[in-house]
Amino acid sequence: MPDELSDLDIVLRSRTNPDAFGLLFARYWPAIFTYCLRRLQEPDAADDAASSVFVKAFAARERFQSFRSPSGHNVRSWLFSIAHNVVVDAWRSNRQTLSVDRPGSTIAATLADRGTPPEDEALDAEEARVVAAVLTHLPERQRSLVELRLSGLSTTEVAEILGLSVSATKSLQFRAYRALRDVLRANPALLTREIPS
Amino acid sequence: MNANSRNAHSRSDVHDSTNLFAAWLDADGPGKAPPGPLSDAELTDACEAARQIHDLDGGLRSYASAVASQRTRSWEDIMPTNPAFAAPTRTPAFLPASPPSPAPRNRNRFARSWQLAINAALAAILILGLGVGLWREFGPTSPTGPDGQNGLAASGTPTADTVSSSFPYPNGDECTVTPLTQDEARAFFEAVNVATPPPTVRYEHALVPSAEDSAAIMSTFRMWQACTLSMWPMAYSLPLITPWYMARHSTWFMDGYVDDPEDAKDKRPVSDRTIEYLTKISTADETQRATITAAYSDLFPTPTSSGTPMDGPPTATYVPIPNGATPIASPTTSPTRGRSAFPSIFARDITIIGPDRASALVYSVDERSGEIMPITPRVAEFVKVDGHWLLDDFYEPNRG
Repeated sequence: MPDELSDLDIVLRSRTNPDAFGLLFARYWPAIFTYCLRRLQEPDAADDAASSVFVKAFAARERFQSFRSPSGHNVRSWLFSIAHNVVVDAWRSNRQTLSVDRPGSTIAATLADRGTPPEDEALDAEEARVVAAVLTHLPERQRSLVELRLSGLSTTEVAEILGLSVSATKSLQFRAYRALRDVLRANPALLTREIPS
Repeated sequence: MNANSRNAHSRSDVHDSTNLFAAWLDADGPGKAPPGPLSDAELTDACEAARQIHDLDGGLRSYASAVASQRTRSWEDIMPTNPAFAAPTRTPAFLPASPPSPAPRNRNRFARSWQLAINAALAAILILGLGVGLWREFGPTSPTGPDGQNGLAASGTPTADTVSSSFPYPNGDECTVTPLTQDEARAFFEAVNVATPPPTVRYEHALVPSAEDSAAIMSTFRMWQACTLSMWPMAYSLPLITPWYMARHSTWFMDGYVDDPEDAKDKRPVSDRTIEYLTKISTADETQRATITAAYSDLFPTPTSSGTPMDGPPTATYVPIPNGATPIASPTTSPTRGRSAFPSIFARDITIIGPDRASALVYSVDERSGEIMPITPRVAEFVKVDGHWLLDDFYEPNRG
């Protein structure tokens, strides 16, 4: 059964049966799209970026070498590695068009364009805006790390994606979240609610 | 407590905190109480920030889910939008329109590719990636060899040779390259190890190559295939490729999916020990490779149990070989590689795409059925160095 195939099985199988890659797409599209949206803020840009991730992964599937991963055969890390590069490239090329002054405002605007948003959607939009705004205060690498953590990746996976040792990733991670705390404290206007002290 | 011991103690505390925090975060920490002593203010702060940001991020996840559900993306949505996957590429225009043939059973050439990583003799093969071919059928004395195909290559249209459903296996004697010495091999690998590939300069429009260039390119490609047969030391095929081919396709140097040159730099340099291993393995014969690789086993991470190969043959669809195509077959068995088959390749549409740079479409052909595998073609790029055409890159058409 397709659902029983491991990620690695799917990649191997897709080398001779390209359609099999669709299983990997179905499995990881939501996570990759959300990751791209978190960084790019614009649904269309995120859609393009996420599509590009899978196209690149498909093109590189025969070059995927499982033993390159210290943790074994982590296809998820591989996909997020590609996604990381794609969003960094997209961010660099589109940074002038993104909402620098009010990160996250694009999401809010998109929700507004859909009509009067329900209360929970408005809250979602505001929270997304806060997250985006907070993350812009972090150095690039710390921001990338937090974005990957928010996508559910483990310390080991983040290390693989960022090309760091696990111990270096732990240190960076600790610093990143402590910096986040400082940002949240120093920018209460970013918050929609008080942070417990 | 002196200053040194205080500093050591402080470093230890930080180290403990980073480990505690990582373990807490990995264990879905934002939903749990902070670890460690509450007196550790920095750890508590980090945990609280994690809780806050992960909680807030729930809004974005909800929003992303709502947007994604409205768009309902599928793999089929994406594939046709990419030229590499569109029908004209997957089924080239010159192919006759006929239904795909059923895949032969027991075709599992890729199924055990993971095993290559831990197989000593396969390390060298992996470095060269994709190349296996047959020279005999297309050697200089063959009627279908380069001398007989100058016109074909120049026009980009295969001659009307009759295509057989089976092809003779290659003979290693047909690789006639002078192999690199150990010193030359080391210099080759060190050239890869110090920099990113030079920028590629292309013409705005592709040009028709001269018959001489076409023949030389075809000759290089076929010789490269012959010399990458598993029984040949890598030193025989290195003279046919540029160092940058190695950089792009070798597991050891590969940029892989890293598109950003800045990130690619992080992949190199590899260690002196890796260079030493590659130098030795590239000049070793088949009987020496396992011993050499065993001596450098520390360079090979141990695969986990999840590397179990899939059971049963992968499914594939095949289309008939085009009329006039000139296939190159390959061995169906190889005691060294442990594979049952490997795609054979022929090339067409050779064009000059830049100063001393050419490309050709290359196709994989199933040597049993003589049918083209629909995942092809790929593009092989060549550069002219000191009057010789060398293979420089090999990729799927959608790249870049």
